[in-house]
Amino acid sequence: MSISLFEFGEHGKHGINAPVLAVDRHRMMTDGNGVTTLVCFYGCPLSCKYCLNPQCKDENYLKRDISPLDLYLYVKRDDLYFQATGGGVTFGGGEPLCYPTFITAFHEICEDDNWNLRVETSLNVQQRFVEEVMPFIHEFFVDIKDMNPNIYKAYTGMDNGLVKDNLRMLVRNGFAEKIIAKVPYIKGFNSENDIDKTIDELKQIGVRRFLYLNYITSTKIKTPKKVNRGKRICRILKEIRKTIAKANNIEYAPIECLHDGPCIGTCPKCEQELKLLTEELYRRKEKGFII
Amino acid sequence: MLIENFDEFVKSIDEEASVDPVFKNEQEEEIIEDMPEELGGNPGDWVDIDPPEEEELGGLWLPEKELGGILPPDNDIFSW
Repeated sequence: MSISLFEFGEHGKHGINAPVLAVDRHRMMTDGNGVTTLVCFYGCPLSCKYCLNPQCKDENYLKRDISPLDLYLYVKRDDLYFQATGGGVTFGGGEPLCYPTFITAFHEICEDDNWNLRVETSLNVQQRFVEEVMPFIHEFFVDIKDMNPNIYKAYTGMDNGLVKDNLRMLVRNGFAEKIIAKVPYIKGFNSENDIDKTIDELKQIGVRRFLYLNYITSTKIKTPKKVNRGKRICRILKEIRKTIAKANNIEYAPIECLHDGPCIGTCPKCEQELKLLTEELYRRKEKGFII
Repeated sequence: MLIENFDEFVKSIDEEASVDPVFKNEQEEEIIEDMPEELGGNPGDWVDIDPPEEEELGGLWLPEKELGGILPPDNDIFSW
């Protein structure tokens, strides 16, 4: 569920606001474990040929400066989903590590909430930016592109020296398990042999977790129309609410949804159910609850 | 954490609802504004990007190759 950026308030105008393109709730199995909310920042140092999100470099694209507190007050509504599933907030973009101060401030606000904070990054940023966030970031999804500097430069227009330095720095500081290296086949730029070499080099650095993928380079994708993605999300969220309620002996009978049209995964009725369940659990906070 | 294995949790719900998880990221139907493609959004906005011309790559054009199954055909990170 993507929201209008104008739903955000005006809290905390104290110099650490960041430009955000979109905030997308109720993501599952794409940005780390559990239910996550993706925060998409504006701006990226790379100029990738197959960039799937060119809005992040389009000066005319709608974006909004928001504060960490604005963001917190918005995403907190999914607190139960985050805590019950090991989810949390994932920062993407664009390049989220262009905004380490924002992410750090957000962490300071939510550090008692038991959420997992993740970043989807190229790591092609100054080392001090990575150092600032590495103690509390749960996972770094690193889009490696290719470790061959020539291929990397041809594809992104940039050198990858910083990427390698930052990977080494994370490993040196004991954060190897936090790194998930996304290694793509990039049509027209690298080959199976290049990918093998990339993986070998990453392993030598100490990276141990890998994801292999293909970049989308065309519109040729199957799109079955008869299944509604939002309905599926709604169904899963409802089961999460039922599981939480059952574990805490809360009587909860979700209203049967009779809506037959397109669904974005939640609706005012679902939001109300989540709100009531959240309030009931918070009331029990002092006595303890299971989540 | 109440739901330790979220993947299994989702799988069981999908099975009960007879949703084929293979296509879980291709079941886009609704149009959602302000959701970039990379964020799982609107396939209708996707545009064709032709492979770059050889001269654009400064001689680094590499022939397309079959990858022998090293890459899963339906990876979640960008292919949804």
